Amino acid sequence: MKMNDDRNWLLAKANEEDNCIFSVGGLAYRSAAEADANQGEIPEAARRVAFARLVELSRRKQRLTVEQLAEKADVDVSQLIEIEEGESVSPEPRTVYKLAQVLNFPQDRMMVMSGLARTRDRHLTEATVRFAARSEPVSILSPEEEEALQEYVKVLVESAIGG
Amino acid sequence: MKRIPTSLVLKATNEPVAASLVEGVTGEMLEQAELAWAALRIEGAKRLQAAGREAPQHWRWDWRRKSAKINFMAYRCFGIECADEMQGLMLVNLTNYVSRMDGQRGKPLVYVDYIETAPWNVKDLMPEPPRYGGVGVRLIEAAIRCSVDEGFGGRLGLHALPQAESFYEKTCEMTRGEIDRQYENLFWFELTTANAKKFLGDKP
Repeated sequence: MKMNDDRNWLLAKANEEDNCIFSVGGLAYRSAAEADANQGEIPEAARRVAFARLVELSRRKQRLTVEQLAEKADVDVSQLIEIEEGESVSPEPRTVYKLAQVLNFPQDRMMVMSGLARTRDRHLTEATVRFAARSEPVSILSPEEEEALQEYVKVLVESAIGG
Repeated sequence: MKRIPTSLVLKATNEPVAASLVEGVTGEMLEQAELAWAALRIEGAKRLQAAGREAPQHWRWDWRRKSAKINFMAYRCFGIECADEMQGLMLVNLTNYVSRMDGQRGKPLVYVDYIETAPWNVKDLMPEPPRYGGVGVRLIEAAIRCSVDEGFGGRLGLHALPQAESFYEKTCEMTRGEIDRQYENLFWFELTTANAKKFLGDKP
């Protein structure tokens, strides 16, 4: 596929498009009933990112490693890693319950954040979306993070060289 | 996934800037775009509401449905990237729709199922002026070229939301069909082969 590279064509068309809304309706209306039913719910992508960051940042705030938190909460370490990576689609209710206890969060809110329960609390939904949108790690690594990263990269490189 | 060189209009200078048409947008890219756009949509909607104005109608879309559809062979998902950010997204269906217009009735076409531009390109939505222009034009161009590549002669079909009818009628020169009772009484719009060629403006 080759796109039109004529400058004047683009400028003229873009000028016509200016201030126009160009949404189409096929998808919008087939899902309208479902969207109404889901109105106020947390979008899945935002929920998963927000839940992962919430657990990770809360753990770090308590100065715990993943292993230490897993031990303290008596949960499976691999499941905790999946949660912090945002890969856990449906964590076990017991895991969420135990994490809520250790991290001092209301259990019902944690159930919502983990995707095990639903909410139509618009305030929570909006806050979750904002938190998820701000959760992309952009800050400079702390010395500890830098050290951990270097150690891990070293092992990766060494294991690759060692075959 | 493939990136094809193209351009958009940088509104600040009204000059073209390099962009990429992404063919075969992945689920991860869709998710990233949704995350970047969702919070701004909420802020924008509040701003419009405070000003007593209506929010764009496409905001009721359920992104999970888009995400599910990109895994089906019948669908192809396109995006426009510029300055390392997704500026617009489009989902088209290549198999389930045919022409409803006299002269090309029954012939296959590309059905535009979903189009959206990034919130920062929508006028009055953000406190700042829109960043890029021509996002809709480029996505429709991609849909037409996709239709040509598939052997559909550039034919397109779609159900325009009421706010978008003038774009498809005037800018794209699509023909307005009948109200579709199957689609919440939205009008069917269709692009003929002749008008597809006219839109593309390719030099011989």
